[in-house]
Amino acid sequence: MRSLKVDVPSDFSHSTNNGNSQSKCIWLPLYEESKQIVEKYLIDITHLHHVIHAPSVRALVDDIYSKLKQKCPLQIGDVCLLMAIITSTTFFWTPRDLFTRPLFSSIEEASEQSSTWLKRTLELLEFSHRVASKTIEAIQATIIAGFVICNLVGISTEAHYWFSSATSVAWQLSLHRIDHPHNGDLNIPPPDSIEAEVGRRVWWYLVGTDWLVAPGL
Amino acid sequence: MINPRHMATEKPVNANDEDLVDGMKGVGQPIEQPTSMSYCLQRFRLAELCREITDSEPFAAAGVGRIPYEEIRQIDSKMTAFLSGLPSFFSLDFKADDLRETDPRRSNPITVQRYIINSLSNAARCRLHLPYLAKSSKESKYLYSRDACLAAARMVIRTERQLQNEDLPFLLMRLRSSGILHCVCMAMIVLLMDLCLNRSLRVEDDQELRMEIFGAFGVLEEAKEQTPLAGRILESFYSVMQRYNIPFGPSEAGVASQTDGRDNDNQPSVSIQHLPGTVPAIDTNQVPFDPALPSFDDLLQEFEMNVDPPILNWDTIFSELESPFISI
Repeated sequence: MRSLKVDVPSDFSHSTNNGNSQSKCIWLPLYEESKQIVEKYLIDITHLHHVIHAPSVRALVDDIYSKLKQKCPLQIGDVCLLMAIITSTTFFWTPRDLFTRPLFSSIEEASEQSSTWLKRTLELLEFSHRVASKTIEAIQATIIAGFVICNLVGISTEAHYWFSSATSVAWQLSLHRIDHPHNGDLNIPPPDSIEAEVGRRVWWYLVGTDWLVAPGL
Repeated sequence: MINPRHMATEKPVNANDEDLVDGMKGVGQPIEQPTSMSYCLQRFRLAELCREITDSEPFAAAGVGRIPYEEIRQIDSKMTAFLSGLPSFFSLDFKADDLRETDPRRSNPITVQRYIINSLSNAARCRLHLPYLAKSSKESKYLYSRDACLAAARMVIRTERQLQNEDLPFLLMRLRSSGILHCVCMAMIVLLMDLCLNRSLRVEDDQELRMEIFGAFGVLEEAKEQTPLAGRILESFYSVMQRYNIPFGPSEAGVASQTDGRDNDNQPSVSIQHLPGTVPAIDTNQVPFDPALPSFDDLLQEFEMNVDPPILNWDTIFSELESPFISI
C-alpha cells in the first residue's frame, strides 16, 4: 500500500486581478494511478449523475498524459475534469477498494486526499470559469465537484454557487439550444454527434437540478 | 428557474455510452430497456413534475391552506402515477434473482439507481404532505395526506432496508451520500410527527411505528461512522426529542422482536447500544401525549438552533427539506 504519488508537473499561466501574471503548478497522479481512479469512477460513481461519456473520458485521460509527455499545452477544462473525478472517487473510496486498488493505506488517507483535491479543483475551476476558454469538460467537472460538496455539507450556498456557475457557462456554450433549427452561426456541434449528445446530458442535468431544488412548496 | 420555453435542447436519448457514435441515428432505446441513462431520464421526469408544481403555485411556501387542498391531491396523483410508471426494473418489487447474471437489469448501477429513484420520489411525496400530517387528527379531510405521508415514509425505510441486503459497492459508500440521508431524515420526521401528534388516530400500530423510527435511527447511527453530517443530524434529533420529552425508545421486548424480524440477521444495523442513554426508553402504554408538542416548524427551528454553524451550514439541510424534491 502506498499513498498517491505525484509526478507530473503542469504549468498554467494564472492572471490575477491586477493584471500580473503568475504561474501555478499543479501536480497530477501518475498515469497508471489516474487510470485506476477513473475506472473506479466509471464503474461505481458516474451512474449517480451520468454527465459524461465514458469512452471520451478515457480518451481524455490518455490525451492529458500524452500531451504532458510531449510538453504540449493542455486544456484547463480537461485537467479540471480529471481532478474532479479524482476528488469524487477518493471521497467515495470504500474498504473494498483498499484491497482491490491499493492506492491508499486507509479510508482516512483517501478522504484527506479528497479534501485537498476538492480545494485544488475548485481553485482551477474558478479560474477556468472566469478567465479561460469555456469548455463542456469544465462544466462536467463543476457538476462532479458540486456533487461532492453536496455530500459534504448538503445543498449549501457553495453548492448553489457552483451549480449556477456551471449553468452560466452552459448558456455561454449554447447548450440550451443544441437542437434549435437555426444554429448556423453558432459554434455548436452537429446534432447527431457524440459531443452534442453529451451536451444534452449536461444541459438536462443542470435543468433537472434547477427544477428539483427550486423552493416553491 | 430555467424557463423551458427558453431552451431548444432535446432530452438525451436512452442509450449506453458505447452505442453513441458520430452521425448516429435512432440509437435511443425504449424506456423499458436499462441503459446508462435510465436513472437520469427518470430524474428529469421528476424534475418536470416538480417544475409543474412550482409553476402552479409559485411563492407558495408550504403553508397549509395556501394551496387549495384539492390541488395537493392532484399533485399527489401525479406523483403516484410517476412512481407506478417507472420502468419495471426500477420497481422495488422487481425480482432480479431469476434473471441471468449478465442481464443489465440486475447490474450494479441499475440496482443502485432503483433505490435512489424510489427514495427520492417517496421523500418528495412525504414533503408534499407533511404540512397536512399534523392537522390530520383534527381535520378528517387531511387523513388522505396522513396515509400518503406514512406510506411514503415507510417506502423510504423499506428501500433502505432492502438496499442493505444487496451486495453492492454502493452499500459501502451510500451513507456518505447526503441525498440518502435526507430521505431517511424525511421519513423519520414523518414517523415521529405521527407518533407524537396523531395518537388518537392510531389503533394498534404504535409499536410498529416505534420500530420503524428506531430502524431509521439505526441508519443514521451507522452513517455517523462515515460522515459528520449524520452525526450532526442525529444530535439534533436527540436534542429535540429530549427537550420535548418525545418518546421513541422501544421496550426491551420490542427490540428483541425487531431484531428477530430483521431481514438480515447477520448485519443488524440497529442496536439498542447505539442509542444514547440520555433518552429513556418509554413504556409504550404510558406515552404522555402533550397537545403542545412541537410542530414541524418547531422541530426545524430547534434543529437549526442546535447546530454549530462553523461545523455545518445547517440551513442547507433544511432549505433542502423545504424543497419539494431532494436531489442533486
